Amino acid sequence: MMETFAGLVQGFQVALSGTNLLYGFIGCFLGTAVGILPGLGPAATISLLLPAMYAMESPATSLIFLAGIFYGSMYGGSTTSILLKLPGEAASVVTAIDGNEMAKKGRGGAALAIAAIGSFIAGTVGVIGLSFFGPPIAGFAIKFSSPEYFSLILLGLLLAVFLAGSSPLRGLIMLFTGILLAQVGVDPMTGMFRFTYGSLDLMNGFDFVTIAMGMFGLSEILLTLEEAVNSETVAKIGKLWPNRQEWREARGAIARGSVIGFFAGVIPGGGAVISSLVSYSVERKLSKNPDEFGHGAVAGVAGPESANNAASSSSFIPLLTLGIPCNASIAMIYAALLIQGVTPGPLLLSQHPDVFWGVVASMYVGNIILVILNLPLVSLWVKLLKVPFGILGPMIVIVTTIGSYSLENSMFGVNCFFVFGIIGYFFRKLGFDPGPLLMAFILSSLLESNMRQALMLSGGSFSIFVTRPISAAILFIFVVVLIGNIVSMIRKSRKKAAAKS
Amino acid sequence: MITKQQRNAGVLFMLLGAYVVYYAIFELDIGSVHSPGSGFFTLICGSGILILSTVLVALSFIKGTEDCPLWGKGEWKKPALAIAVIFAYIVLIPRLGFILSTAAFLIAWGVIVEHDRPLRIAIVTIAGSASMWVLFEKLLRVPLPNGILPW
Repeated sequence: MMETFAGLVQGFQVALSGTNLLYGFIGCFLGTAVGILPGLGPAATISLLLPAMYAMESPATSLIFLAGIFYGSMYGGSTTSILLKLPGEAASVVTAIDGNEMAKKGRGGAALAIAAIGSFIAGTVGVIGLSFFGPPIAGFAIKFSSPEYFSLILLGLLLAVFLAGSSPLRGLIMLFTGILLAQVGVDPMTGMFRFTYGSLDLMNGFDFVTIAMGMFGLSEILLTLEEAVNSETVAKIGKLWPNRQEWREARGAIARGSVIGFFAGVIPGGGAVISSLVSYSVERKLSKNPDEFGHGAVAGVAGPESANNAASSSSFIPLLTLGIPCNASIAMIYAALLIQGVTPGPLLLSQHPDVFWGVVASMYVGNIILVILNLPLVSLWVKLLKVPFGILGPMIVIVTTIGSYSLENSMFGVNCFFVFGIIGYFFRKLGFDPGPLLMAFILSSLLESNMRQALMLSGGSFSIFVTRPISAAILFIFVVVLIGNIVSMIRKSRKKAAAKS
Repeated sequence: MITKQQRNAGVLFMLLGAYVVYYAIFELDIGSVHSPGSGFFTLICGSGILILSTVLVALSFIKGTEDCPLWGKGEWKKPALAIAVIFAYIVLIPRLGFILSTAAFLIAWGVIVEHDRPLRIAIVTIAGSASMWVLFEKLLRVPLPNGILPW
């Protein structure tokens, strides 16, 4: 306990330094902006900013900056959901249902206030959890060696596929495709070339940044071009402060949403989207007036908004303590840390306490910044929606193109960005989520090296993964989840068949 | 329900998986379980893609497919035009340099993709290319391709 407080003191010293405070503010500001702007989610924005990580001097600064974008987007996402019924990012989809109904009734301001205050409380709960649960988890994970790591990465990847995606089968195909892309280049253990075909550029393999910018950044722009965003349907904000009755309805939902979000965020593949959906259905079940849901229920805004913010904070726990990113945005933050020469994992706390505690403390500060940014300045954000995509879109293309050029000062990165952008566009059109691909691409080298090391340790016996207790426990969880999902899929298909007949 | 388009994608993944398996076996060293070679993981990966995509295609035949076009009426036009304009931009950057190619790109985007008003295209082109040049060259100090101009 005392160590945690000492760590937090150190963290606040890092987070409140002039540079970090400025980058934290810029991160929160950008995060709110991208959360508000439909068609530009946190994953896309972080991917666009990855080249800038090469220019940043401190890993703590870059992590504080990117974390600000990530959790800031959760705050901002509620604004367009409530006022436009147009979610700025996926985690705010359910907020749009009741939030927009409240806005139509002239209670848009109250809905925004409830969302922002709920987000603040839940975000703070998430950070407190991160402060107190992070160090013991990291201490436990130090005992892990290659078999445990292999099992853990496998579990993380598969949970991400099973929990986050709409189709586990397509998600698994994307996962293997991500591993395949990571195979291109030199095999780190034998020095042999794989899939290079004599190309000097391919010998270095693909850069994560170009894949991320293409699959999330460029594909997002192409998808947005298909849709016409009508900013003239913005609902009126009205009085900004909720009345006593609305507070009463929101209190319990905020508390439950915080707890649901915290636990959902820790699970790989869980994260903000799942947590908001779970919270919405819980609130509906617990409500005395379930019919109110869909017609402006306060709990339908307070619960999901609190849940997605708590999840965005707690999803840093597996990243910072185990080195496992649990969603695509966190995977990009993982890559940003690698760019800075810092490997996230159990040793992060002992080797780079400034980074760990700095980002934790910055989240406390960031939550306060975000309430200030999102409540009194809400009308300013609404004006941002009036920037035509005809200006925003090409500017993003220029930034990403030059960003991919700057990686190695060559056109190879730009070509990769373009090709992966088109591939990502088609993947998304076809319902193949590129999230698992990206996570697998990042974790592939760890997965491969740990598997090969474990097999060498065991003399070629796969039993090493089940005879070591921690690895066996992780694989047991994996099997339970797998069977659970298969059973639920069979049930669903039977129900559908029964409904048809 | 699996769509026809997803089934077609599944067939492409099957071909990819088969090629990766072939590549791992014949072009790389698989090694053994005791001492896995460079192709060991590649083989697992290729087999994974091949098996899963085969399951996807098989399910589409067993359960049937529905036709779900990727685009609604005329929805493909803007993305297709944008892809063409971005491709031209990428081809032009090393030849014309950053400023000229960016200006040409912004004009093309405004005229071809957005069908914007000439005045706005002119403002966006001048302000956009100049501000991007200042951002990258002066503030971020990113070395930009010069092309035919010295800057």
